[in-house]
Amino acid sequence: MAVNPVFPAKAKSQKGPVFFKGKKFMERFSQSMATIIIAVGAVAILIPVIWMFASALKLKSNVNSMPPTFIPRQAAIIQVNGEDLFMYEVNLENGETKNLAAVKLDPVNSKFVDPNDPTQVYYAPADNATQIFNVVLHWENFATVWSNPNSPFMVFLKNTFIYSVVAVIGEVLSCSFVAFGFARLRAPGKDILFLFILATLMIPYAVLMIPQYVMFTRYIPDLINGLLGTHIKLADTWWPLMLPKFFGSAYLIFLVRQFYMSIPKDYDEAARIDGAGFLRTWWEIILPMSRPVLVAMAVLSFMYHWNDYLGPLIYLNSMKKLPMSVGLTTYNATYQPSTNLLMAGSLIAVLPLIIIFFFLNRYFIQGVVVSGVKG
Amino acid sequence: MASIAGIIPKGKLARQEAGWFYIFISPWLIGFLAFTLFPILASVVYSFTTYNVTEMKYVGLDNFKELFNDKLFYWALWITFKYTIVAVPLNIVLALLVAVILNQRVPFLSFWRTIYYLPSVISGVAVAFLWRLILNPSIGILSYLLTKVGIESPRWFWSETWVIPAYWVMGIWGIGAPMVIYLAGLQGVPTALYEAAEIDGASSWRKFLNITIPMISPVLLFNFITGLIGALQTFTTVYVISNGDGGPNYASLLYVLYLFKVAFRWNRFGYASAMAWVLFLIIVALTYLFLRASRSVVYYEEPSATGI
Repeated sequence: MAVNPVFPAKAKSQKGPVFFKGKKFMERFSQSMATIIIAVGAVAILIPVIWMFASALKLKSNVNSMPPTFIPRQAAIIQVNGEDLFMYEVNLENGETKNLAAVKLDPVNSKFVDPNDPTQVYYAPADNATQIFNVVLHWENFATVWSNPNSPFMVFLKNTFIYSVVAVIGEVLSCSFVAFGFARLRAPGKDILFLFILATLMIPYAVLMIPQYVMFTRYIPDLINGLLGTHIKLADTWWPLMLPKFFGSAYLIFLVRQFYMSIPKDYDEAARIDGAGFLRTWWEIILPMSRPVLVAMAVLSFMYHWNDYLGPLIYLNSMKKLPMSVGLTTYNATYQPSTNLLMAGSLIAVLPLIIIFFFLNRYFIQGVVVSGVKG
Repeated sequence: MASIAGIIPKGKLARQEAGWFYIFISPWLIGFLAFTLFPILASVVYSFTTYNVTEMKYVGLDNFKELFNDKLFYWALWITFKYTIVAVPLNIVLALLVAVILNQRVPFLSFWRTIYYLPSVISGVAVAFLWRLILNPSIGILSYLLTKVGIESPRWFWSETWVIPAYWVMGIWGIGAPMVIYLAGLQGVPTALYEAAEIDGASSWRKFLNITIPMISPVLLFNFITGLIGALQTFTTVYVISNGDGGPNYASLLYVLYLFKVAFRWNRFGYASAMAWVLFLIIVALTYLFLRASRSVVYYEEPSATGI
């Protein structure tokens, strides 16, 4: 399959100018077709997101309107003689077009009045009139959701943020530390321990969640209380969720280790000659060189914990401790909010992540790529 | 790893290095013993008992016997199978398709990539609510579009027949993550191979089949295996959309959802632990099977660093 570097160009020119032109055309054609397909797909991908924004800004009665509209709009209404009337754009018989308020709609003879001068009455068939809609963005939906006193979104957001940040710090620190051992140091038993890491990757959370729950809500508090005579409880606290993050995650350790392996050993040796110990080598030489994988790892971890649902669902139940994910479902279950409010709430939940994604999207992609290709 | 395996140096320096190794890995080692190994052992014990938070009685294999007579267990397996068998292939094939098209020197590659990846960022509860709205048979946009082109919209999440297909459709939205991985793989395929094939007069289809697919087959396998393991453990979306019931009439009772109900609604920790081990065995068996079967198909340029 090896290609002689001389031949490709020659081979192309052998085919003659006409064919060459045709080929160029074909290439252009397929490239534009590809772009069109991708663009159409991108629109399809974006529609749900746009739909979410649109629904969040609508009035309750407009969310359910058929046909669905992307622009939050509502029928223009005007008060004439103390009555609320819908506004229509009416084509009058004399060819004029006027914005009028409908008093009575009738297929043949609808009655309209001029809102500026209610004595002026016009008649026209209903087909000649089109209802007027105004674009109204109901930003207050967000305020309504946000200020719901019994489901504190501000607290949910704060909890999720703290959880994500603590988890990122814990995982990045512990995994980059542990990975150094596996990538750089030699010791008996290392291979078998590394196999354990790989084996842990296979264990579904379903297996661990029950015994972990029992351990954190019964065994550990019982042990501590028995030893110290205290009365601590770990159920309905963040401890069971945050503490394990400081002990590394098999997946991320594997990821960082793969990256460390690609850094030449010469750096370690140079550091050693300069009198640096392993700790300093890790902190001052290896860590700064691993910035891309550390950022990618941080982003992956942040994203995972921001969306985490099952963990908090199992451990937490008091309202002021819930993260956004569980808080949102609780809000939905207790208040049965109308769709526009639920979408506003959902947007509050995902917007911070979307904003971070657009700023750091390079690192998000990198994180996935590193995890996929290197793994 | 291969270069240092077996060459464990002796002497004071080596002992010192080994000591540091254990210091470095100590966080993981402690965490592994406390938060993984101990729970695993506990879970094995629970699976042979009637543990329900308050009392624990050893019952031997009764949990497993009950499990194999539990109609809902088979039902949950069947639903999970029904979901996985379509969702995973659909997802990885569509993702590959998009990645291959994107790789045709489409302008603004990183822009498109960002858009396709966006849904994967916001997975979770909010997305579940969003899709429940989109697939709402009376006010949802997809239902409206279907009606518009003359197809009567199914009742999706509200229909026993259509609830799993609804999750397939929803899953398509998440093709961004595997797609990004494919793209990275595709960009690593040497262009020389394509040029050589062009000289031989190969068509685009032949190039795709005989160069692209073999060259990215490890990535394909990776996406397939991770997709499979993920699909078998799907929980959040179904839990949120069906309000934790797996409805309508158990039609979306995925395995982990059933397990969750057994454990945290009915407090049957022993029985749920037995269920969890069955899931573990299924995952291990399937992974082994597919890795084994892929051996003759997947092309590795060089042995990977870890030897797996």
